[in-house]
Amino acid sequence: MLANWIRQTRRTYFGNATAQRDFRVQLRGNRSIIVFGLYLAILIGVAYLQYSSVESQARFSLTNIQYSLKSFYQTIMGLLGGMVVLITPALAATAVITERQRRSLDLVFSAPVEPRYYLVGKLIAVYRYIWMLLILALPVAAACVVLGGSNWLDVFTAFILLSFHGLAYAALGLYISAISDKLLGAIGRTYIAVLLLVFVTYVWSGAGNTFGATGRERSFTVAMSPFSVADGGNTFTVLSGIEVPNWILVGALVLVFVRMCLLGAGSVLSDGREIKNLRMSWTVIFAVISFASRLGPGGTTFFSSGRGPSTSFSAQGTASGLSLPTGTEAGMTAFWILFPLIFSIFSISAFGTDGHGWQRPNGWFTPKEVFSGTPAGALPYVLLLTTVTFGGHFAANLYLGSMITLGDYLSFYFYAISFWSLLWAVTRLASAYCSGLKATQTSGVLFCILFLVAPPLFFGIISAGVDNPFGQPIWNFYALRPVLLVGTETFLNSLTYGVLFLVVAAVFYALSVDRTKQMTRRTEEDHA
Amino acid sequence: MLEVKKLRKEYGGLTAVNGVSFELQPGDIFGFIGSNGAGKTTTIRMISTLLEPTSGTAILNGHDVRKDPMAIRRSIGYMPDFFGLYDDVKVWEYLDFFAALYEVPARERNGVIDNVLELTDLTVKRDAFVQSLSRGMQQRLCLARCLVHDPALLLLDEPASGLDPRARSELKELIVELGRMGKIVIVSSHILPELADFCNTVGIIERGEMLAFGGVSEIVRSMQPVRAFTATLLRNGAGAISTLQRLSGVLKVESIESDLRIEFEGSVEQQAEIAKALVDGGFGLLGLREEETNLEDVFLKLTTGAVN
Repeated sequence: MLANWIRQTRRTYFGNATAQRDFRVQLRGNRSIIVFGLYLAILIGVAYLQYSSVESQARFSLTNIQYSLKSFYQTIMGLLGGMVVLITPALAATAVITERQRRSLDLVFSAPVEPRYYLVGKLIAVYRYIWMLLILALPVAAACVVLGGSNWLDVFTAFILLSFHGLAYAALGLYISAISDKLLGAIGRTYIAVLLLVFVTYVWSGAGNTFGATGRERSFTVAMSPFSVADGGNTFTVLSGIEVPNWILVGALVLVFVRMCLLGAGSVLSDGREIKNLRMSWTVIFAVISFASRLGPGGTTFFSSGRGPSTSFSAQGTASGLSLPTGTEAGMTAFWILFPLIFSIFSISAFGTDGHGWQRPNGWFTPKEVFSGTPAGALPYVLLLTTVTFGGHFAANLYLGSMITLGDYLSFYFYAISFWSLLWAVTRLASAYCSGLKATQTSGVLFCILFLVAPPLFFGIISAGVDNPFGQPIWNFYALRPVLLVGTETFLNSLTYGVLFLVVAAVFYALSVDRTKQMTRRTEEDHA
Repeated sequence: MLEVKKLRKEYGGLTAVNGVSFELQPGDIFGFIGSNGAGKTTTIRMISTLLEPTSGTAILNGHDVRKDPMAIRRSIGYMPDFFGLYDDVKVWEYLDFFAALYEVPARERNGVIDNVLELTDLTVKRDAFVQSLSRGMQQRLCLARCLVHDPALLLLDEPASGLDPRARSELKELIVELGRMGKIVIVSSHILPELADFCNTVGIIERGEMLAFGGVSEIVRSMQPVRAFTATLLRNGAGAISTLQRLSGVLKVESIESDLRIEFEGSVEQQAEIAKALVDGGFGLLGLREEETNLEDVFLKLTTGAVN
């Protein structure tokens, strides 16, 4: 078995036929010459303009020159980051969808090929292309070193980081390509997702620079943006007394991200056969993130004082002087760690037909179906994720010897369970009344907008201009109020909201039961 | 050997394939006949592991499609009803890509590619770009792709659609040759004459259900308990009709121009009595031939044309 695994792994990563074919096609014809030519022309053009500016600065002072040369290097690396952001999604977003439209996917998957082999091959082809672009830019980067704007180690780490960012965007593009039906839709969605990711990582990177330590010791988040590789590349984070280069930490994160994207794409391409792997991986990841959020480089919960975003809350004055019990801090942190589940709760919980898919409503709570991807396993899976996330954070606190107030923490755990159960029940109700999976998911998204996005906008308008706007009673009607660091949070709040959510969830579920039975009966009759 | 056992596939409320079963031996060329939407492609896709059956299974040389799909894939060559060819690749690169997917060792690939190109008569197009080939050649290239790993079972879904008569004839010869090589070949089509010529086994499917399965002549015979003969006589007349009507097994005799049409249901001995009576009666028997029922007649008789 081990020998087979080694053989398959070697086959997947070395000499992957999909990678070879894609790379061959990428480099064939005039297209690649035009792309490379254009790319080099832009790089050289910008470098020349920037250097002219440096030359003009040279008349003033040595400090200015140093600053200008550093700025020259930053511009070149920023430009390379921009190229990676622009070119990688285009390559990845088209990779699977064009094969689907050409209908060659069936031919590939009628061969003894797992989705992993195919997707890794696609990824390798894009990654090779990124490296080609980086290597083409090496002479320009070398000019930065020769002129004194940076050193070779900076360039090396910056290139490594850029390739990691490219890898992450490629994986995201492949996932979106796998779930899309139309080429333009895939490209559009990939660019939106990548730009969103670039924005989020840019903010994190900025936060890392602002609140992290100075010098080469910085929070690893500084290296998470493609536009900060010049500054964040050659930095390190101290973990248990060891200086770990940030590019290694970012690389590890990117690998996890890539794995999840490929598993997601694989579960689509394999007709759901990879879904068990995907769900188990998410379970582990949530547990690890929630554990690491207490122990990791941040070294604290998001809402406590010290390094990290909490400082910004204090700076704004909203939470200034707010003394939260540690159970509340930990509960809020755990809740927000799990919050990205909002992007998939409706897919996880929906049932019904769509095109060739048929998610039969095979029950509402069957723990043994937890990793199977069927509707009966949805609620157990959501509860499992909630439990491991809260459990992971609790375990980290225990490990650190932090005394958290268990009652508070459990009340947030209860709140989280109720919140996700409510969204699950909304999906059940939508599934029972909507004509297909897509309609159900759209209904779920609309509910989220009404339930979570619209109220703060509305309440914000109402309470604008008054002292302590977030302290206004109207905010008590907002569902996420217990986990927002505004006003005075109480033990009662999260419990009250939790009970309310559970009651509404129970009503929604009850309303869906009859309709679900009718739908199932009609389907069975059709079969008969 | 391929055993298909009660294969069933449901899409939502639709049962595309409902309990299809059959068995094929090496060398069998199986014609899978049905109207568009009858369930042929779904069945083939389940056997090729591209679709998971709702229930039932198929077993090829001991490997179950549900339990061991990878082993099945190593033993089959699947040619869908579309080409799915890549642009910007040459013929040999296309075959090399699939040979690699089928785990043909790198050092053997060139030889394998040469062999399949020779078999499919594409050797001269080895270095041509795929998109420059004619439709018939592209079809042959698809077949070559299915053969790079020497599969035991070939699944050809509507292989002759869109081909000109010459290309069809060449494809037919190729399929017969593959059958001779001991491969099981499943060919689906709704064009019956193209199958009746070279398939030794056929299955008729409608609305996901297998209505008939067996050898071509066997199916025709089973569908035709009442056989019809045409007798050409030198002296046709009422005497001949009354003579024949007295014979056992003869159901109906009618005169059609100078011939007699005899409907008969009986043994071969009784059949022999027909010729004897016409000769002994002095009617001048010039010829006696059985009216043939072909696959098309059987198909039309069995099916209603309804689809799911």
